[in-house]
Amino acid sequence: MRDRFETPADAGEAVARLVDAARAPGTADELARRETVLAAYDSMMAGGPAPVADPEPPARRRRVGIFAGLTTATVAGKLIVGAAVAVAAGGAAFVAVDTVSHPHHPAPAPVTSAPAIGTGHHGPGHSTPPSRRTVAGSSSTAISSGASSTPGRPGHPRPTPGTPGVPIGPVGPGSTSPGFPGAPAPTPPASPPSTPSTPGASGTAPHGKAKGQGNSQGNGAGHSTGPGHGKGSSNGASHGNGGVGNGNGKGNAKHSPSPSAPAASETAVAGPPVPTSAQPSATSSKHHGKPTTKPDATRV
Amino acid sequence: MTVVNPPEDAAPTERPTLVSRAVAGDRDAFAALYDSVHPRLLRYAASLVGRDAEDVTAEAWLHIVRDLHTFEGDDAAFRAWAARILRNRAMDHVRLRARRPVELTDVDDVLDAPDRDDTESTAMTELSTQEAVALISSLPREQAEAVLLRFVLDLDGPRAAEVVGKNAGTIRVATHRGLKRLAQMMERERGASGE
Repeated sequence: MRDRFETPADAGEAVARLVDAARAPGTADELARRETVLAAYDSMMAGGPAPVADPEPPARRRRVGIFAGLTTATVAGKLIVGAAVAVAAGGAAFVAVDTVSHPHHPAPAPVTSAPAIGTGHHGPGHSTPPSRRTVAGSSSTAISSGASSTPGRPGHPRPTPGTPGVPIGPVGPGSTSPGFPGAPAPTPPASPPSTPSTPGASGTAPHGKAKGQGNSQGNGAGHSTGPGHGKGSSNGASHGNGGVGNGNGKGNAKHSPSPSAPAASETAVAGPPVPTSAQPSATSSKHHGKPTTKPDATRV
Repeated sequence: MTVVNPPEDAAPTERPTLVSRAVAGDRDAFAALYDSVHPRLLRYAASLVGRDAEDVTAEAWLHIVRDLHTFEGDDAAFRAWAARILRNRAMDHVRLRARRPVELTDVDDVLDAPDRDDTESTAMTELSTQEAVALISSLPREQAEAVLLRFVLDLDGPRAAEVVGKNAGTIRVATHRGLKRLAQMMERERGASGE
């Protein structure tokens, strides 16, 4: 016998014969399921379903299922038994109560409808004297049947829908449209009416033309002397009495709130003061020459 | 003296062709492949699960048929692949059986069952296939698997190691110990019989 056995022959003839026996061709018994496997092969080649059957579920899953089933059955059984006991207790209580009648106090009237009691909350100890005078009969039957004419309590109000969410989004870009036009500027307050002008001293004016605006009011008379020569005109609706002089003064003054040019008396010399409006006269010198009267000169 | 030199002498040239034809859909080739491989798988399964070997082997064949289109290799590779599938099914079966209640056996069956010495003597005198497999299966499982994979399924060391998930050195050692133990068993029986 060799030290190392790598083949059955190394272990001896007996072992070699043993292994030869184990390698013998299959017997008919061993090939009994041959057709089954060939049928599975045909099915697989024909594109049929997988021939492998579902394996047996592991024992753990079975145990879990069994425990779950037992737990469910236990809970259900307890509920059923509890409900049955409760109903039975309630029924027994009413039967016991209803069947007790006092001989000297007949029941006023048989109860025809039972209250909606069937949960067994009221046991025998909760009986009251009036109920003891009731007569057994239809009431117990009605109780045992569990029928109740009492309408049910109104249901809970349906949940109100929730308030819509506040959308929160990114800040949008600025508007590119032009803005609205601005409100009209407040009108300036009307100028207070001009006070009557006092006659003033006529001025001397060189040649010139004056054109002014303003309010003039008042009467004035003056006399102007001098070589002045002027020409004045006033714009506006006011008229007044201008000074009279030798010059070609012309002044108008009239009561009017509108702006008017002051009476220009360019050429008036030493005339009486000419009432002018309170507003300054916008003098202009269209032509050459200086204004005969400064705005301040014709004002009060 | 019968000399067995697996796996060299157990790999006919037509077997790879047989496997390839079976994979291609040749029913006759698959039948011939089944007739050749199934008895070996059955005996290997007998060493793993005992009396449930037929059921486990049949289940393994259904898996083989299902996944046959994915197989690529020669005859030895097919046997190793089939043995690996069989071993996986056998291990699942052993695990399931371990969780089940122990089956009680009649006392008379135990008394009538032959003991190891009886099996050895029977193997010496009238060596049948089942008895030979039973004797090999009496070895420790690692040694029995090594002997069966190497000399019954005709797998070389690396392929046998791949089936059991160990390295080739472990298979070689287990094979040596198994054969040595079988030889000792035969010698003991021979001495007991008066030779």
